[in-house]
Amino acid sequence: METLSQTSSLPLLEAKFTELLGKDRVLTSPSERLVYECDGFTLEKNIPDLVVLPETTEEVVAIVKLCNEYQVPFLPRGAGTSLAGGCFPFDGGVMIVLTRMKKIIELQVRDRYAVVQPGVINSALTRALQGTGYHYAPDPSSQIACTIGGNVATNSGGPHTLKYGVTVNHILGLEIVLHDGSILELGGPTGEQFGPDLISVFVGSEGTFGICTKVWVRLTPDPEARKTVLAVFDDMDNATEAISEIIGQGIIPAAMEMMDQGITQAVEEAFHFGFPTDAKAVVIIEIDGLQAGLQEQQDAILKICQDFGAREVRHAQTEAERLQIWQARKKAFGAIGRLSSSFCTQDGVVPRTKLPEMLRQVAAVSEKYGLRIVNVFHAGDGNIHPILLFDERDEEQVRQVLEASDEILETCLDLGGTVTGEHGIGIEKLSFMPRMFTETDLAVMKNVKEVFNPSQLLSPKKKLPSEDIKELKRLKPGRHAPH
Amino acid sequence: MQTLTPETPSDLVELIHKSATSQTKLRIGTHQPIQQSEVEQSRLVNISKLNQLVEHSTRDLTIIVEAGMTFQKFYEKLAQQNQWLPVNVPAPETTTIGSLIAANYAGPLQLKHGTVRDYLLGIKAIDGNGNYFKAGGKVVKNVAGYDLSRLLIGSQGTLAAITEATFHVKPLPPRKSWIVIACQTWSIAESLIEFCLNASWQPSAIELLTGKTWLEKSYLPTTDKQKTTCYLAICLTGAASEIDFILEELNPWETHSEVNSQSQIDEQYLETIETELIEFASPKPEAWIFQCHIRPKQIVYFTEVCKKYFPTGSFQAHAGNGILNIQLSEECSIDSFKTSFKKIEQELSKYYQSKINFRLLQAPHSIPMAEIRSGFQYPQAAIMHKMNRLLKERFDPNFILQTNNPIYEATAAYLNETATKA
Amino acid sequence: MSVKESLNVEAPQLSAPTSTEKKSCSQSAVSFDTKVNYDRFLDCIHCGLCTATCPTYVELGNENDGPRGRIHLMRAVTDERVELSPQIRQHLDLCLDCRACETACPSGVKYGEIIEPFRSALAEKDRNDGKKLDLFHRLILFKLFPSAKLTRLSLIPARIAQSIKLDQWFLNSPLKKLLPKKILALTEMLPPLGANLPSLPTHLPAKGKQRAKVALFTGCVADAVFRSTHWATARVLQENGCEVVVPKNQTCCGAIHVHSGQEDQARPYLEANLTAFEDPSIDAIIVNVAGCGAMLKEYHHHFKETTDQKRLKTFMSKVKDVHEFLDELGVIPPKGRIEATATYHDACHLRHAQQIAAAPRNLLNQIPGLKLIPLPESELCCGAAGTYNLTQPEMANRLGVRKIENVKRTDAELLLAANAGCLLQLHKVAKQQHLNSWIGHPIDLLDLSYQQKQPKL
Repeated sequence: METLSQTSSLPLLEAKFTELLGKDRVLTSPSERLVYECDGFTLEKNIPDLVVLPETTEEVVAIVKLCNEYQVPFLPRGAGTSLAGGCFPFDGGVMIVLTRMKKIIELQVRDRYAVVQPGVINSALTRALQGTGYHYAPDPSSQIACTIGGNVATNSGGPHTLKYGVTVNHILGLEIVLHDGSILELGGPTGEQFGPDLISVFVGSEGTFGICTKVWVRLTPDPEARKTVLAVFDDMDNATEAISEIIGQGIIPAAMEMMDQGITQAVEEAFHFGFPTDAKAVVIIEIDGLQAGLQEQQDAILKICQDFGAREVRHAQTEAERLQIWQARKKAFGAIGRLSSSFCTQDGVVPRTKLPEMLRQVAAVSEKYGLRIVNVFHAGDGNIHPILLFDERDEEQVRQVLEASDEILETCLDLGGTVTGEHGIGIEKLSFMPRMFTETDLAVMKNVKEVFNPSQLLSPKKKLPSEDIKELKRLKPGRHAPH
Repeated sequence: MQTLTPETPSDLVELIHKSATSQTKLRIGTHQPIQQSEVEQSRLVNISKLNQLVEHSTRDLTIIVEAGMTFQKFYEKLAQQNQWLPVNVPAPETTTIGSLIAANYAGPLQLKHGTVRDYLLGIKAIDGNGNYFKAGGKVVKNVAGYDLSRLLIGSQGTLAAITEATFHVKPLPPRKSWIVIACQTWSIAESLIEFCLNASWQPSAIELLTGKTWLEKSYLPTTDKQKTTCYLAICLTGAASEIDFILEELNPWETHSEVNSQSQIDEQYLETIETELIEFASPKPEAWIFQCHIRPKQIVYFTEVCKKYFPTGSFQAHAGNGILNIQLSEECSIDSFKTSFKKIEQELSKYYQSKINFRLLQAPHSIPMAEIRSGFQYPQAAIMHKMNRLLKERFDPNFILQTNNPIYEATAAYLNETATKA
Repeated sequence: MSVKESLNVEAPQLSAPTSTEKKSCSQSAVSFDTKVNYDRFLDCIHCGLCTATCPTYVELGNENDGPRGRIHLMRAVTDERVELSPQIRQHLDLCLDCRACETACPSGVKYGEIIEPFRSALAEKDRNDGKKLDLFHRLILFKLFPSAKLTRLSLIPARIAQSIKLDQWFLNSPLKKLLPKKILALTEMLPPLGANLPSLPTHLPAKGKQRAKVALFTGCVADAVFRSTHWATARVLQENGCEVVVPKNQTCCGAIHVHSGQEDQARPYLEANLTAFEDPSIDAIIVNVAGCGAMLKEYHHHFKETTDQKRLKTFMSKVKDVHEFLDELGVIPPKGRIEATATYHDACHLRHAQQIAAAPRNLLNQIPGLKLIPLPESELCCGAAGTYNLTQPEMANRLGVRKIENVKRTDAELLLAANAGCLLQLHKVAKQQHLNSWIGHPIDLLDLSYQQKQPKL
């Protein structure tokens, strides 16, 4: 396909956009479009030909119609925090940036829903709900910056997924501008749909099915009380077994996060939270719910941890202590900078009971390649984030990091898991799709894609592998952000 | 017509392949059509032999089963391991897992526990071309590929025949109770609902019940049936200590002057009440059933108005979710519904701006399908019909799967309309 | 360009103070890579977590106006991937220097250490290109403001005008149009000036048992406009058993120059302050203006190789924000009840540059009767940002209005902020937005409580 910059329609399109949005909301100069060349995934870069910043659904419709008229590719972008290149503009084209669509349209606490524009920041919604007794449950680690629209596109998770589910479990309705500029409304305040669950298939479609311009989200009542336990283990296997046992015994904590020795040491060195640096694993377990039942649960958890040889089990005595424990977890990634200037975070999932085996495999890979790998992850979900440390100036090591990453992800697949739990396919993991799915599976997915996106002008070449990127070779590992 | 019973998924693949070539219409599985007479035009496929437990990783809280397994059996398998899937289906002894997904049964428990969408992790299915495909997986977080598993939820079997499903399940709560409160007035019902929704505890269900059907139930309190305007049935699940705490919180209401009685449903009726609550909205040969979705805070008033215009009807509202099911006797004519619906809408219009959709779930067997077709339109925007139609064309280009279906009745209506306009 | 070679290259020299008149070859290539430590760029992993904390990004939603975008631009300019276009300059100029991004950054990127040297390189480039600073920068910002004495003198007409309400008449009359825009902005920003207080004595004794000996930093604009807060600070310190000295020869901290990329002009101020506060018997140097405090605590970033490092270190180790100091010392609770609702705005240079959030709130919570209501978006810049409200009035006003809207949502009777710039801005926008809250410094309120007085609502 001819790219937009090669066609003569660019100045025409530019003029039409300017007429529609005004000068300030159309970025045309190369120096202003530059920053949109990549998102949180920086390995591949491509500058979009035009960047537009609509504020209303009508403007999005008009933009999409113009793109169709001039037959140029276009794609949506939120805050650009994707770690997999979700906002990467393959063929350049028009980037529709939704960050100015940030109105919270309705907050209906009694009816337990809110209506927001896609550019609303995840934590802004939570802040707006403070004091109402309700919150928006999905809390990806990037929640201070990422948008609800982006969460919808990637079906984001977060530490509290374990009990509260991922984004798709909290979406009641969507207003979507389709590939041709028509508006499709799905669900609404009560989530009522008629026929196939189109909301669910749209959530996680990474911008290839349309641009959502309005979202009805479910609000979740705040728990009456919370308890946070910190368990210290001298053995990784014991720690993961204990995690499995807790759930096996019928306790569903709100979150269960694990940090290995490498991470604990870095965190300790950086922030001095008082974590034992000689322990092999630290597990953070948070339970929430009705005060009346909580103590029982906490006692059960303490007992399980002790039965599995926990060296020490502490629980937060005050809210300040609780926050401090979470701060340690959330700041873990920042501390990695102290271990190595370059690092690559992987995102794989295995069934929870396979965690001990998975972590042994990660250790084996680490030994095989002589690479340092540390772990901090959502243990309750079986969602691992092994972090491979390396020196990006050492080409040999870079190659090894790539191979080691692939080996780890292959192991996830072998153990019945997946190669991405929450970061998405984007462009990073396109090459893994044929390894996870058969040709038939992909053909059926392609059928659905063609229903929503027949011209392929919208987010071209994303989510499903296409001919010209089957050969896409990753040259460098990602330097990834916290998750 | 002869019923086919495939023994393996490959048998079913072959069967669909053949039917696609010969353009034979199939009706697969157990879930009920809107009008029984329609079934006769299709070849029936019974998937009850595809009923194996594939994998139950009890400690991972995941289970993989074949789609022909009945819900009853599924429930028992889970219960053996002290687990459950907190959804309800009508006739659990015959309803299959495939139907559970295809029909998206959502009963009283959805208030706290959600719907099938919240538990389905993966599927294997065969589309109308005979493509045997899988989607999703068996881990709780997975964003690889499009979520075709959930796409099939509510698809009524029109896109693909499900052969296998993977669910995320929950530990069985140590205790479950149903409390029934007989309310003298609508306003006390409203206050009680408000109280439950704002409490620190989360009720698993709040059902607002009124009308003839409910008055006949022996498990509901018998005192003062005449004086009772409606019942509230509240479900509680959790640890014993939690339930005790909640019961204590509810206690003071018992003495309220507008509360006739408040009682816990006897252990022996627990299953009965839950099944009846889900079956209320499922097919009966002699009844009309409609469903409306409305903002939850308006549900009591809405129910009151509906009852005024259909005094002989029976009503059940999932009060926390804003869903009202209306059961009417077969004597009612289509014309009289339409008049009453219009009046209800008018009366509500000062509080409720948007149009209310009275969606037909079931018509009495005595009413001819043609009459139903001309009498009701399906509440959807044209664009939605278009999307459904396009999906259907991709998944089932020969239109052999569950074709006599409200989804495509609506599509057909839309297509006629656009054809006329053109 | 040899980006690789410039890796790890620290700024080797600070250009010698050049006269602004000096002309060199018109298209000078200032190498940005020698100014900015390239490693600081590499610290950024491009995750974008900073974006939503950036006031200009929050307002405009443009990646170019967020921290990640600005770092991307500066790096691209340094790498010579892109020309330093007027647009890029505008995006960089729009940065408030509030450093909220540093608080948000999980990787510990020191944004201030990237943009400040970069600005300094820009300024150097301008000088080399023969561009003159405008009159406003040269006269008002760099000459008048840093002198407390001159500022006070220049305010005399305003003080008189305010007392007879002439200023209101003027601001409402067509004559308003006659003033240059920036001067007008200055006029509108003046807070109620109150009585013309005498300057602080050089020495004030501790009350009760002496717990510490401290020196008070009085600064420039603050001493002219907020002298009453200096008096209040001294009294509160005395109440807390501190002997207070006020060194005579102290001067402006130099932040105005540094933030405009004119580090060389700031150096004399630094030297003067190092001398003024040299007394080894001083336990702490107390600052009540967040902007000055941040600058004093970061002198070493700006004057790495140009002054006696040991002396600098000793100085910096003593610099304490007044809230920080009192909270650490353990404040003696005041007795006077103030039955009111109050809300606290986090000054950027306290919250982000100095990472002080709890201390002021802890102190306010000691006032009997006072109810502190959390302010939505309390950590978002109010638009003052030093001299930003004078150089970028439009964005400054947008942020100011946003802040006041948030204050209105709290219904608080008292609005507190611990920075002179913020207080000026809040006064101005509150007037414009018809907000009648009492606006002051937390220490003012604490002082009233010690004195058993009430704020005049």
